[in-house]
Amino acid sequence: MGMKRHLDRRNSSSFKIQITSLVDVFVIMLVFLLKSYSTNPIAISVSKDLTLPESSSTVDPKEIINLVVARTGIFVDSEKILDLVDGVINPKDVDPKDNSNLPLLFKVLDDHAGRLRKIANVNETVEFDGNVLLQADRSVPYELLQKVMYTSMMAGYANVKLAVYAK
Amino acid sequence: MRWKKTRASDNTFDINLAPVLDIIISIVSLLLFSVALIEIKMIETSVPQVVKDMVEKIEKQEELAQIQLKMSKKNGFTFEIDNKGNKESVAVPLSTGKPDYVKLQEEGSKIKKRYPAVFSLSVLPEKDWSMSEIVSTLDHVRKMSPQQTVEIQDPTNGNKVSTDFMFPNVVFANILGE
Repeated sequence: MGMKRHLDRRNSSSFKIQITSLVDVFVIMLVFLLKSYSTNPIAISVSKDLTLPESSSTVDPKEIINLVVARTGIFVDSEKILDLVDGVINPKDVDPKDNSNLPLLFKVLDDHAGRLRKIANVNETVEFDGNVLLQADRSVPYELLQKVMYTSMMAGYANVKLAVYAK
Repeated sequence: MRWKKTRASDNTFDINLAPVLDIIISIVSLLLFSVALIEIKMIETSVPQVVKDMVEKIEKQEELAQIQLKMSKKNGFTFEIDNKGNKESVAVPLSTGKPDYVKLQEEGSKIKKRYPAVFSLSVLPEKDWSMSEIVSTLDHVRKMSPQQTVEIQDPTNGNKVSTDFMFPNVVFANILGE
């Protein structure tokens, strides 16, 4: 009789999974994810063909106009302004009278600055401070960066901040 | 008398972990979707407020030395100091054909100790410097060599503040041309 009951228990279709160790793993993952969860409300998306340089800077980025210099082109807030071929600018896109000025980029930035200034005139909470976040690919030469920074400065965006990956 | 084992006298019991697991799985999946595994930072004037206020006061009251950093792929780094007309230069040559960032920080720290009130540096990279090399240079001139600090004095009340910041205020001096 006792033997029969024992065999019945072994053949039972219900079984228990030991989930304690699984909970342990998930708790560790949860702690890790909560620790690395960014509390900065400003999310900056970096395009696939752009590799930012690494830096030891610890300053969080601000919500300002994004000027992207990738190897394929120059973008202002995800709108492509100029084409680049492997990080080299077409000489046609450079002002023949001023070889540091990029007229197409200047026009877009100048329009943007004009709009912000108009808003700042009627809205006290908005301030035009000339800040621009420059996301430049790590391999971009200073020759191109100088042109971009010069053009942005001429358009009123003189406070250039460099976007970097945290080390 | 025979002792009878009852359920109430049993010290071991099972906690039902299934609902806990459900909650954890929901939170983990939510966090996995929203977590930023790569952090983006920004390089700008990152001086703490106390130091920043003091630097502003000093810059208003004193005529400070002007320090420039020339960056050349041929000759390496060169600090050029103009202290009220007295000019001097400190060279940091290339090390095995590459920029010597460690030596740059060491020489920068020595200059900082001589001019503790100067927080601004004009950098002049040549055209062939890449963005990553420029950022590495800025990283090595932002703070002094490890465990080194410098004291600056508030000109208004004489209070001293110790800081490891070297030249956090960086200006690209050749944007307008050479």
